Amino acid sequence: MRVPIHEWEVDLLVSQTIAALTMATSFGEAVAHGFLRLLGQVSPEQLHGYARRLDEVRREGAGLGQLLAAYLPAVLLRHDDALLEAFEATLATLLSKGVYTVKGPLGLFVQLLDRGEADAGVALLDLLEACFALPLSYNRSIYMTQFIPQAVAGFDPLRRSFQIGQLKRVIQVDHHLAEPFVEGLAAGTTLLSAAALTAFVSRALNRAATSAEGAGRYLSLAAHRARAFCRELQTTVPLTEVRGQLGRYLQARLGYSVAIHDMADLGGADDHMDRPRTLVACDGRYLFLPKELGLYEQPHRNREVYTLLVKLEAACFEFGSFDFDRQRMHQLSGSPLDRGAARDGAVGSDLERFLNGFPQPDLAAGLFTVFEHCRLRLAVAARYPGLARETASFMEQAVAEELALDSKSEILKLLYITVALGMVDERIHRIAGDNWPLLLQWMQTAVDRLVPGSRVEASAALVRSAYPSVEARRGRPAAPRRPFWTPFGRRLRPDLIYRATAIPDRMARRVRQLLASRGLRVFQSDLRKCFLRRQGTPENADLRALILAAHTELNLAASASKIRLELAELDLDALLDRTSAAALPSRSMSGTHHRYPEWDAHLGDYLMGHTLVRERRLPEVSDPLYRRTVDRHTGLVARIRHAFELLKPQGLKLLRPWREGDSFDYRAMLAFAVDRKAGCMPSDRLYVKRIKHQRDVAVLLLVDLSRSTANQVQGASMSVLHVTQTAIILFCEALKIVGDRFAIAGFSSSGRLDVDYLRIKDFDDPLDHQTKRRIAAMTPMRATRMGAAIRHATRRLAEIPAGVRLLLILGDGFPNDTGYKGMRAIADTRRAIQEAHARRIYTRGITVNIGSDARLDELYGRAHHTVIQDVRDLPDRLFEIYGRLTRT
Amino acid sequence: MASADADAPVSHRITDEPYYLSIGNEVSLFEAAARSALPVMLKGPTGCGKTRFVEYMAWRLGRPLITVACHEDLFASDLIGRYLLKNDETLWLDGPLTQAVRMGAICYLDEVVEARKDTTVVIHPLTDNRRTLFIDKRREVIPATAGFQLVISYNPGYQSLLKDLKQSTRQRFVALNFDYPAAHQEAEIVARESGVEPNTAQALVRLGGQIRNIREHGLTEGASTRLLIYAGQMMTQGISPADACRVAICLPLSDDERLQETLSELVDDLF
Repeated sequence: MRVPIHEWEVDLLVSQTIAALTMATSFGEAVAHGFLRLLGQVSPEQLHGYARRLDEVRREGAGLGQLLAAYLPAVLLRHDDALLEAFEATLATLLSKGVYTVKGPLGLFVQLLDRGEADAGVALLDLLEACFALPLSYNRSIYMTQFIPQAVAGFDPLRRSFQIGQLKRVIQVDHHLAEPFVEGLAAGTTLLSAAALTAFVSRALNRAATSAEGAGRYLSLAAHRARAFCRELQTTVPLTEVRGQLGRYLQARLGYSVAIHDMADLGGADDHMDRPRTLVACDGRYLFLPKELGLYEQPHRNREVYTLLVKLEAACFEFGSFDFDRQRMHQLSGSPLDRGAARDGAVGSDLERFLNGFPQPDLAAGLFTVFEHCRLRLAVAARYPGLARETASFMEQAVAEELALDSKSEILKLLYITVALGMVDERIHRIAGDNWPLLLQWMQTAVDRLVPGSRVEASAALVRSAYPSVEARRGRPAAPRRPFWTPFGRRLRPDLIYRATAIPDRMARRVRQLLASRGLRVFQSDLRKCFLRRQGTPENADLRALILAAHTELNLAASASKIRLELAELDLDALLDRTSAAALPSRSMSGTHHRYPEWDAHLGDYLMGHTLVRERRLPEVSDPLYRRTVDRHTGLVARIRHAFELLKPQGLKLLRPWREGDSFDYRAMLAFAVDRKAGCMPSDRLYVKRIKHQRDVAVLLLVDLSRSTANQVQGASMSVLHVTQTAIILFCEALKIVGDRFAIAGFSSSGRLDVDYLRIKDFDDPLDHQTKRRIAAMTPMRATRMGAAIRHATRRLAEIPAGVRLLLILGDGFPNDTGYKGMRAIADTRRAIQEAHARRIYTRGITVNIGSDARLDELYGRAHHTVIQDVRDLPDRLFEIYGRLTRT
Repeated sequence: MASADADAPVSHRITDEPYYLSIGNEVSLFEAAARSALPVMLKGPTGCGKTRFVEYMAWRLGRPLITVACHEDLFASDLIGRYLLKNDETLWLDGPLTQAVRMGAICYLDEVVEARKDTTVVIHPLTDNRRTLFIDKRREVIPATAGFQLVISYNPGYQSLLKDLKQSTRQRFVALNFDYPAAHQEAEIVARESGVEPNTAQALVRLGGQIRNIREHGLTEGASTRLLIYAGQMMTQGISPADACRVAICLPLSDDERLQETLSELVDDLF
């Protein structure tokens, strides 16, 4: 609502502001801001009402006046008398306890109104009124003025309104149940729908009549029955529950890992998304899904939607939707290379530049989604008939629902349904109007050109052909339109793709230009993909393969030897700024120092005495982490102990029936006598033999303490190192049972002359308080010069007399340090492992928190390492690996 | 004391050509080793064709083949032979290794690391220039008949460290490395061995490849070519592709329910 501003209103602003300023500067500022928000937005009566209210509260003091001056405009701007009345009533209730109760709770209320969450705002007023009408002590009142805003601010925005309502119910019964209720939300009840949460709270409150403590345990989900009932009621599926499964599917299907993130991580990049219906987005590097999914009443259906979305997006990776290349486009259609570049100053990805070359880039982008999804549908149908069937049934349902809801003839939507989804629906013909059959026929002929094996550029070529007729039909809208409808909001997002791939794209461009100057051709999109997969560190062999492939595709002659020669002269590290290998001066340090050589893959030789390892004890910290971890994982500890009991040598092993031994096996003797009597050939296995059974294993656990281990584990509030510590503690408990000798050490580095080898437990150390405190003291440090650390660990392990010596290397990625990156670091680490092997020390790499990567095979040797994508599986998997390695 | 007749060589002869698709130069390498009477070690994951290769080479070289599946209770005497009682007489029965030495056969010790360590020692004199087998109970030294060749198979990386082959054993063999064949070759093998259509074989091979991509996610090894063939054979018996893959590939690979769900998703996509 916009109303004219009168002079008297400005006078009122001035007089009220001056009156407030006489009391306090901040009050005056708040009044001025309040009037400025209201002027021209509310009626003269409302403005007078605001001034009157300020006159009243001035009598109560500047503090309250300032708050009201700031909060009341947000209410008045809603033009809702009922809301104003509720606000005043709540304010009165709060003031009955004291002015100190106003700021926090009503501050949040105003924030909710400003964010457009009016329903939640109203629910909050109800809650505040119900709570502060109770006979609360002074201290409890103060506590609640902080607790309620903090709790409500943490509720999920989509569920905030009804969750506040349930908090009110709980507080009305017993305000001491408020905390368990909020704990319960964090533990899982937040996923319940309004009706389900009501049912859950009702059941909890029934218990309150007999035991407030019992009701609290129920609400906080501490009670087993509460958890079971919550699971029964829950229809929404959280992403955390399915992320591991979906990640594994992507790894299987694509052969490399694609991380799955919460859609909220897209941040401001999804501003123009059609939010309620956009359930998936992809930037060519990561996949984004909603934090939770509650489309259906049945949880398994929601899980199916998650899976389907991942399967569909996997096709974009598999069939190269993100690999658009202007050079290939040029080859395909002969179009000028720089169309679109001039328009946008060559900013953005190749795809964006291509789309920006059209008068309406949004229409071109829409058409691109239509044709590209059509290409993907055909490719999926050819390779995955089962997936194609599954997709079709989901899509049919989504389209039927959309057409029933909406009869508007948005041309892109209709094209998407008919071309991208390949569906024929009579309603579309009715909606589309007269020219539709002609357009559709043209589209069909065009799409028939998309043979299996077509690349993404074929879709772009279709955009160019179809654009004029589609634009003629749609016209030129005055304002940008909202994105057109697609099932689940799936569409290709060139802006996201560029954001995620800008850096590798720039690197790819530089390499392509350099190669071109040497007469070698390579496609920039291939290079970009290689940079992405190799995490910015492609090798000459990768480039060689890409160049050969490009020359073959372009029918250009190039001998492998010429390419090899050109690449040998190319300083890739310098080109990509990968080296800054200046030797760092050694700093003054305590502990013993050891020099080790380092393998230089380029030189093909060792650099003698190149690294300096400082060995020292990790200082202890007084943190009861060890005890706490064992207590928290009581069940797992018991299971591990049981499993390791089976590995434990039993002293003597009984073998029967045996051909020689210490005594007769009487059962075998009986069988012998019977066989002999019967004239059959009797067995000679007549003895029992007892053999001594010994394990002679020494294991050193070498833990990467690099900075990256401080990273949070996705979907959990703990770091990678924290989970690693948990695994180490449980591992100690297990080895205590089995009796194998073991040591633990950490490593970190900052340049070749500054490699720390931190002893946490030596082979001869008992598992005492000092050791436990050192485990708790493990902390993320600096970089990862793995080769030097392995050489030193090998030296320590080689000193131990044992039949089997095992070095377990626990890390979260690849070696990386100053002047120690990419293939150089991998080659040196691999060499250090080979040196260990030569000394009869077996190594096993355990890499956590990353997907499988072929380079791990290069690092540790194939079948000599294990990837644990979800670090939370580490405690379980560590025992499985160790058990398998050392079973007798 | 009597001596049992050795089995007639004909019972160990392979008369029909086993199907084997050569992947590289392994056939010529094996032939060269056979001509030089060198023992051979076949390295590779389970079900990638090691046993079939030995059968094929035995047929190609026209030699009998004696196969022993090694296990943790396999003693030296199980390989060499032993005395048995028959009525009031003792009877010597040659073990498979002795039979092979006498008849000039290829003796194939499958998964040799599974056998007890003392068994590997008895094969040492057979794997160097002595080419003899010593039978301690009979105080007899048997020189290997021309044509005798020892072949062992070994699955590196998936064994317990406590069971790894000793260097003194390893360094007596010529080693051939095996892996899963390239996709087009594997599809040809699956189609030939199971009788399924080429398209179905390609889908099975794609499934195998995808499962191998998650080898590190709880699978000790990826899906073997043998399992893919089994699935194809089930399909030719009229079992639906989804069921065939589930019983022949997914369930044998893992007991992990979550992993089974992923495998099922992969199967459902493809068929």
